[in-house]
Amino acid sequence: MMPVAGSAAADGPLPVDEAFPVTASFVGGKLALQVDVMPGHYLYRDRFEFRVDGKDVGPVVMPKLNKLAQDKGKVKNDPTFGKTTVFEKAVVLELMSVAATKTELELVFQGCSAVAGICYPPAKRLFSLVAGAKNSSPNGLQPTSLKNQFKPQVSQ
Amino acid sequence: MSVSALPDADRPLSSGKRALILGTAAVAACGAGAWGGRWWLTRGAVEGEEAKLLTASFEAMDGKLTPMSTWKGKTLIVNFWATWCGPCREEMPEFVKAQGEFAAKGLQFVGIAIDRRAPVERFAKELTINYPILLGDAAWLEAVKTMGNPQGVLPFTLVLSPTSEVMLRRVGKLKYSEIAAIFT
Repeated sequence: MMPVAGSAAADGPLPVDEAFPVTASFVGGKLALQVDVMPGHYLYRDRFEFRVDGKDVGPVVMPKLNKLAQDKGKVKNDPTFGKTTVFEKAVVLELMSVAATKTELELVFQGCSAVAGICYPPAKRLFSLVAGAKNSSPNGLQPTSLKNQFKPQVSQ
Repeated sequence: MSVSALPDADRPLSSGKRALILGTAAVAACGAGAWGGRWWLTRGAVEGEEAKLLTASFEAMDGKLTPMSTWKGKTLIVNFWATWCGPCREEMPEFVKAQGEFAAKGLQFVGIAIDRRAPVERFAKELTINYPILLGDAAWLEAVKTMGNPQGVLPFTLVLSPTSEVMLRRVGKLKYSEIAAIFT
């Protein structure tokens, strides 16, 4: 059952995995990572990082390699950082091609809870891609719920 | 399965949640004047990570290693924050105001930034922060999980009495009016 955002105010902030659950799936042979955003929460667009086998592939908005889908985000006027784009809805990161036979993917994201008035530290999520995985699903689509399966790690 | 995540999760500590609830209840009582402003004396002394915090040293903005014991005997408000945390930055002007207002009554704010030096220096200068800002490493985000902040989020603030007893643990913003209530 999905957590409700209202609990954040009553019981403290949600665990980061519940505030921003990440799911991975293959769509037509392409890897898609979806970061959901619970109501009353948001993710900073410029705080996404993505690495393949430890190599930084730059911002996830980098064209051709991968892209941010869903919506264009909402612009907030941050008194310190100026105009900042945030996502209040699910963010889909689509990796256009995964060439390696064995690949480790690292996703870093950072967000806040408007309802609790707090921010989560940058969260790191690791995925291992097994050889031949792209063809393993009969329909080319194999969603894998990763919620509660990985340990949050902090990066600075 | 084609994609797997590494490794298993750690779940939040329930003891931390209990501490948080205690802190929240105590603040409500303080606001009502239930213990005449000295209700915290009924609380126990710091222990565990909080005790380690009070004996720890942090790098200050001038580069010097500064022990937390510097402020022993003060009503100490320790605020964990970061420049990447919007709510943290939003509450700090109220801290500056409170520090100016209640310093003579023994209030000492200390900000521990879980951040890099450059953005912290820039922000501290912009805001003309009138209390010490120290740099803490990311390990403190783990440590605060046992201090009443089970998710390790920011801002997180501890209010300690002059005898080093915990008066308040706050996950989220602390208001000027709450600080003022301690001294009136």
